[in-house]
This record gives sequence, structure tokens and C-alpha cells, in this order.
Amino acid sequence: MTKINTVNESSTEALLNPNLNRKPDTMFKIIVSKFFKNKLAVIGLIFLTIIILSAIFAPLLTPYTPEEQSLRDRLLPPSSDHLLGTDKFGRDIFTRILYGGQISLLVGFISILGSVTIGAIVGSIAGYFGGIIDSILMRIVDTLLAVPTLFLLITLVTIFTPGIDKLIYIFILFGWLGTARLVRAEFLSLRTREFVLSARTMGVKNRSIIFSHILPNAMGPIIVSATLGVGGIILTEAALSYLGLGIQPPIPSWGNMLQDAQNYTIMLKAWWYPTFPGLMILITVLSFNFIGDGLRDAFDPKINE
Amino acid sequence: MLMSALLEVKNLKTHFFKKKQVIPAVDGMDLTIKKGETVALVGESGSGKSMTSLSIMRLVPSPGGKIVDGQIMYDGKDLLTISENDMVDIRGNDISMIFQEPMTSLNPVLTIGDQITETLIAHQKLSQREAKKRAVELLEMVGFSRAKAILNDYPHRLSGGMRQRVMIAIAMSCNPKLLIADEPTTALDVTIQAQILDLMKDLSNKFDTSILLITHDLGVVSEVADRVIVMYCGQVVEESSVNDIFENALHPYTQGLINSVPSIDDDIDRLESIEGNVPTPDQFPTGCRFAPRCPKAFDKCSLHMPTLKKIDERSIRCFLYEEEQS
Repeated sequence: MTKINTVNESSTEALLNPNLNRKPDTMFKIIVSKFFKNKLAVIGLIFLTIIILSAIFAPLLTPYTPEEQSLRDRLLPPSSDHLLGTDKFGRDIFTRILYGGQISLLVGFISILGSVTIGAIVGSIAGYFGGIIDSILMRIVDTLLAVPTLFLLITLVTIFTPGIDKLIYIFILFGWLGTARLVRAEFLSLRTREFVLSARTMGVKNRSIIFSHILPNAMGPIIVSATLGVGGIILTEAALSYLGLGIQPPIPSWGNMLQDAQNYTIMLKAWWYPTFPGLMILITVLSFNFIGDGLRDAFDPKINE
Repeated sequence: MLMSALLEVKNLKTHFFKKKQVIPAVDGMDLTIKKGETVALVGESGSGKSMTSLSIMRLVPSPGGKIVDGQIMYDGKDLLTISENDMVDIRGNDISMIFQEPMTSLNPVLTIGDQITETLIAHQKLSQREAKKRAVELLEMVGFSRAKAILNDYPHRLSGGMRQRVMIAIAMSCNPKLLIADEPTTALDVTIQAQILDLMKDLSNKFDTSILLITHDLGVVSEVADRVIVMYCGQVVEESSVNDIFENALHPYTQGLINSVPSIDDDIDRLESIEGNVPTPDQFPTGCRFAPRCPKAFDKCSLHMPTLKKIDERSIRCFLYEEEQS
């Protein structure tokens, strides 16, 4: 792989194809180098890396625990003791943001992993087989898409006691629809490609044509939509938590921290209380969107440099 | 005949259904391929050559296409009646296929090695390691000297000719008895064309593989084929040995095809061409399908469809010769 020439045979072919004498670029390399040329995407990646690392290493970065209350230290402004101030129970906001990040990101990643997996499986089966199978699966998707999700979420969360696991189930239940449609569309165009026919003439079974021949070719759009989807889920989780239906206190999440701060007097007296969790949501979602856009451009062969 | 038939297609009809319209892409096709023989299937674009080959593979594009009638006898079995699972075992193992576009017939995201070993593991039940070893042998067989390095390469790193070699290596990996080559050299430049044809011919001799060569290039036909079948509008119009076709083509359509190829011996100003185009299947004439374009057509031609008639070792579908016989 490392050395250039795989030229072996007739020198005519080597001459006719100058590419062979160039340094090889794997597709992965091309995509990575295109991605890193996109400044916004790189900024997003840097921010996100910092956020993820600090969430993971939260215990090392702060002397407090997220649930530790101290009524004497209520609503303290940012200082060297409390970097981002304290909340109405005297809990350190910086600490809660770090631990809240763990929850928000975890919910985001697990939900997207689950929904992309289901969406990819359903979408690829529908798109590959077409016909009646496609019709049935896509009508199910259409029906679920017609459900007013936010209200259903609220209803479900009120019926079942809210919790991280239930939130993830619900996100997965409604999250796979978009991916399914996307993957199906990719499959519809990929399955008519010659390499698929050629694999079929070699007696490759449907299952491996779907998962090892076509799916890797559809990976670009799937990764892009998953990246953008994490941002969306973090927002929805924040919205639900803000309504008091998401992550339940005292477990911190960025959304329920905002809800804690929604009191008018608090907002006036302690600006830092709602500002920092809000800012975290903003930065994280923005980072995901920038990365998603960057990946989309990087995967798109029509966009060069 | 000494050689026994390997594949026998009888009265094959592959139709496409579009809304309420029926499009007979292949309409009563007969074809016999003997062991070790190279048969060329020629005809203009749209004459049903590729659909015939896809029908043999049972890979007619669906929904839309369907094999409505006929028999495809292979190894004592009718391929049209066996289960899909049995058919999967036959594809690649007994009958394999290579395509026109070497640039698009390899999966861009899988390495050459992955794509060769896959078939070996599926059909020959080889282990990953044995399959890799065999893949190297196969690549060497089709002319790569740095076979090991190629294994980890992606298709976009290879030239068209090299990719077609890889396709041939994949197609030959399980020693199939029949190789269907659908215009294997059309997309390659002339020097590479000759190399690929030589390679196919060599392998066919070495492994006693029959080849069904689909092409519209009569030069290719004269070079490699033993027998030629000329197709027009989904039907066979003439079938004969390769020498007979070039020396003495009987059907006016075949004559037209041959005359439209420049020859070194004759010095002419203008090449002949066949007037008009292949009619689309919904505009097939009632009589002989070639009649509207045929320079020798007479009254009967546009009224009745001639049958495929055997004359000695050849077959011909034309009233000109039916008259002679009677």
C-alpha cells in the first residue's frame, strides 16, 4: 500500500494511467484532509473535543460534587472558588455543567447510535428490496412521522416516570425515521449500480450485498445526519428537561439547570445561573452542526478544496 | 456433434411490464452453448443481448422485468424452476459474468482482496487465509506480477484494463463452466482490448470454460468466437460458425452488419450502413421484424413472421431461404 507502483504489467498501461505513479490517497485520507480545510468544522471539532474530555474527566477538574449543597454559598457570582458561580442551593455551577455534560452527551450519543442503527437497517431493507416490503416499511415511517412528536414525548414522559433510560428509548423510537428515509434513498440509487449487479452475478447473498457492499457506500450521508442529529437530540433533551419532563433533579443536565434558573428574580439577581448552561447548549449544538456541515462537504465528491 | 451441450436456452421470453404495456425485450430466444466453446452474441443496441444474459443469470431487473416463458437447461436442471437459494449457489460458482464497465463493476469502498476472497469464501468454503492465498494465485493468473500488493488496493487505483483483469480473476475464481462476458472490451482502448481477449481465450482453453461473449464489435467476434448468434429485436435471426458468417452471411441483417465494418482489402469511399434504427419493442412490425429496414424485403415479409430454419449447420430466420428450400 505504501509504495507507489502496483504497475506490474505492460508498460503501456502504466503510461496510460499516470495515477498509478502518484502517491496513493485512500478515500479516508481525502475526506480527512478536506474536512480539516474547513475552518468552522475544525473549530467545532476543537470545542467539542474540549467539552467531551472535560465531561469525561469532570471528577479531576473540580473539587466539588454536583449534588453537594451549601446553603451559605447560595447564588454566589463567579469567583476563584466557584468559577461560574453557584446556584440557589449553593451548588457549584461549573461542576454541574461538567456532570450535566456527561448526561446530555450520553443521552445524545446513545440515542443517535440506537436510532441510526435501526434506521439504517430498516432503510436498507426497504431500499434494496423495494416493492411491497418498501411500501409497508415506508408507510410505517410516514405514519410515525405524522405523529406530533413533542406532545407525544410529553405524554409518554408523564405516563412513565421520567428517567434517562426512558428518554433514550423515546428518542430512539422517533429518531430512526429520518435515517430510514435517508438510507432508503441512498439504497434506491446504489442498488442499480453496476458493482451491485456484478456482486449478484457472483452469487453474493443479499445480506452481504446490503451490509458489506452497499451500506459502506452510503456511510457518508449517514455519518453526517447522525452528527447533526446529536445536536438536535441535545436540544430536545434540554427542552424536555426545561419543561421538567426530562432528566430529573438532582441529577444535573443542561436543560434542567436552565429550568432551575427560570425564576424571574433569580435571573435578574444571578445572571450567571441561566447563562452558562444555556451557553453550553449553544456551543455544543453549534459545534455538532459545524462538524456535520464539514463532514457533508468532505464526503461530497463534487466539492473540491 | 461430439461436444455435449452445457447450456440450452429454449424459447426464452423476457418481457417488461410498464403500466399496461408489455415490452418483449427477449422474445422466443434459442441458444445452445457446448462445453469449451466460445459463442458470440451480436446485434445492435436494444436487440436484447444483455437481457438474454441477465435472464440466464436470473437477474432480470425487477420490478418491471419478468421471464414469462421458456427453459434454461443447465446441467440437467431448468434454471428457471430451481429455488433462489440454489440459484445463488450457481451464480459465480458454475456461471459467472463480467461486464462492460470495469470502472463501475468493482465496489469502490472494498479492497480488491475483499472482493475476490468473498466469492471464494462463499462458494468454496475456504478459510480467510486460504482464500487470500488463492486470490494471489488468481491475480497472478490474470497477469499481475505484484499480486500481493494489489490485494490491499482500492479499485480507483487501478486502470481500466487492470480492473477488467481483476473482474476476470473474480469471475474465474471458482472455475465456472460458463463465463458470460457482456461487452468486456467495449470500454477499453484497443491495445488493452487485445490483451483482455487473449487472456479470456487462454483461460477458456486452460480450464475448458465456455464463453458467451456479448458484443457488437465484429472484430472481436472474428478473433475469439467459434460460433456466432445474431440477434435482432429479441430474436435470433442467424446462427452459424464464425467462418461461415464472415465468408457468406445469409441474413440481410447480418450482411448489413458485416458491410458496415471497414475492411482493409476493399477500397471504398463510403461505408455502407443499415437504414433506420432498431424499432422500440412497442413498435415491432407485424411480419419479419427486420422487414422495414431490409433491402431485400418483399410482400410476404411484412405480413408473416419467418421461423428459425435449420440449413445444414446453420440457422436462419428469413423468407429468402425458406423459398429456396421448398
